[in-house]
Amino acid sequence: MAAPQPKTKPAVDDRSDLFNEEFLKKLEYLHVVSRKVFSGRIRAERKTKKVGSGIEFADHRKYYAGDDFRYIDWNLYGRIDKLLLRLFEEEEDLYIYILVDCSQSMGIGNPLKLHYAMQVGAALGYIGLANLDRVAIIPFSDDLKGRMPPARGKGRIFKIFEFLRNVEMGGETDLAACLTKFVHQNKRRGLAVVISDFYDPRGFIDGINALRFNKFEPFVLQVYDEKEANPALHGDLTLVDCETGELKEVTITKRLLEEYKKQHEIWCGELSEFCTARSIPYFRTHTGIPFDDLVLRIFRIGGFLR
Amino acid sequence: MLALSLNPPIASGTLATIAGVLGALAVVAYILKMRRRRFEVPFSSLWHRVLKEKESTSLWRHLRRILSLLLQLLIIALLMFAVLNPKLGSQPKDAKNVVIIIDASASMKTADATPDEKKNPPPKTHEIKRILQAMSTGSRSVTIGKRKYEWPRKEYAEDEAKRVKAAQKLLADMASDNKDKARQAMMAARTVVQAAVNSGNSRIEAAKQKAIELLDEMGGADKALILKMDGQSTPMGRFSDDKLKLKKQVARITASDTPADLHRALSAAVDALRERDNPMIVIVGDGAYPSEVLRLASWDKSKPIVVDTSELTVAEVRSILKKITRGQYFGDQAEAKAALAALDAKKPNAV
Repeated sequence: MAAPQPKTKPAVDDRSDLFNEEFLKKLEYLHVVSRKVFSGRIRAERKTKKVGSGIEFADHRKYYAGDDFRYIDWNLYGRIDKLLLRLFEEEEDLYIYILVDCSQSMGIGNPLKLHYAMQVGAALGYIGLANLDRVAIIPFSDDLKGRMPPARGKGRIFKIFEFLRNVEMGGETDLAACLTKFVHQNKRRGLAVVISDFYDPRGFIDGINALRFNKFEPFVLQVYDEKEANPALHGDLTLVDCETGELKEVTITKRLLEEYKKQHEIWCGELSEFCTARSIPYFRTHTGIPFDDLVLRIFRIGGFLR
Repeated sequence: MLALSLNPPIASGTLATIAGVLGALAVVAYILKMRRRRFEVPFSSLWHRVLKEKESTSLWRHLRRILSLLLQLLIIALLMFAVLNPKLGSQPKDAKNVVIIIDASASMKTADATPDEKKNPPPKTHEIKRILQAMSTGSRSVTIGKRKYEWPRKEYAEDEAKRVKAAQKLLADMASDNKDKARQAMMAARTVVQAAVNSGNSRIEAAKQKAIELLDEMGGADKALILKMDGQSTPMGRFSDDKLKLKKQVARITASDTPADLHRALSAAVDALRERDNPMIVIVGDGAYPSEVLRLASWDKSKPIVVDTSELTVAEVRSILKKITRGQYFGDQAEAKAALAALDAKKPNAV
């Protein structure tokens, strides 16, 4: 049975003004703030546990047959007559994957949740780029909707803008399928920032677990519209699910609204609890909060850059 | 006992059709209105969760949903009921058919209330002007000295307006510089004022008043015909249960200059009542109707009840009307009073 399509488009998805000059200024400001927050760190590097061909000395270890002669510490051999290898910390770029939900449900609200998610995604991407990390943007809904391959350097931010402007909105949310596909496509582990409303009837657990179990570091950002939490409804209504087109007839009463608010809170609480229990950074925001405030909050609490 | 009778003015089949159409319209309008406002939600699962818990109250919700429809249908049903013209009071089979004969012969012009002209002399010349002035303002009485002059209200606003206008014109003419004209107006005014003042006390006014009071006593399903009796008998309308209409017919009656022809009036009444249930004839007049003539009012096998109300008060007439049964008649006053006394003494309906 073909589900009837919702009659009304709730808001215009006009992204021409999404990444304007104002936005760029804010990004630069955020970048400066981020430098302050993370001062004392050597730029452009993540120290990994992996020891290898870096610059910075880490340790010595015994020479075994087959090791590269070049790393033998001859000075030490002269002093203590033992063959030891110099070990260096291998420097590695961090891969930041920004997964933006662009399902139909993100096209609700004022401003659109999708626009908000894109702005936050672009801001986080910019911070990453400026830190010489590799940033990839991957939009998804019921499937991955293309991808912007990992890029590096501040200059690439315009490519991100361009890419985000052309992302197509639509489809249902299927976190589990998308995130599983994502981990299979991307062998380089890294930070996986998921920006979504997490309105998936199948739940969010499988999706986030797919990231965790494949050694990605999930970073959960839940975006919702104020009116979703406190809908100003009354009277007899036919509720249309904007993704599935499913119809539900309700007569809204004050008590029903209260009940709905409670359920919404419970739903968000479940996600929050899940993330906290697994020490996954979790942020929840409604679109009324300016995106730069959110990013600053993320800096303050930590989790995005370490 | 409270009894209800229905008197549909149109065929009940037609009425049922109208009711059906109206009901169908209401239902269609309701269904059209039921098309709800659509509202897009991002995540209906949340609503499912909420509504699952509300299942228990859904019965009431459904009821409330059709409550407005039920109300509309109820209103239509009440409207239809009103069209059926329900009447409180006697059942149609108990309903009486009454001919009210109002005596409008020359003798009814007499003013009984002022028999002594020495006690109540006609208004003097200087009083006439003041009475006329009061008349021209539309009032119905004026007190000059110790005496109060009264004249009855004309029944229709039109007539009343005419009288006021005439009074104003007479006043204007009396104030005219032309002496002849003023004198003529004065004479005319005297006649008008005397007639007006006398008419307030005339027998015909009293009879009309009594007839109106009797009409007020009618049951909901009772029907009456007003018959004016003078030299000839004139029905003022048709059998009707509309009291307002009947009262207007009564108000239109004026006394004529011919003697009353009781015989003719009775046969007209009998003709009108033939084949009708619970026939009754009520005579309102100044009495002196020979009982042998009254007894003539009959047809084939049955006889109408004839009540001569001449010397009975309205309360007495009401009491008789309540107690008398079919087939009884009261030819003259003595008979009626005796019947009434007998009724009071014995149990009701035993006469």
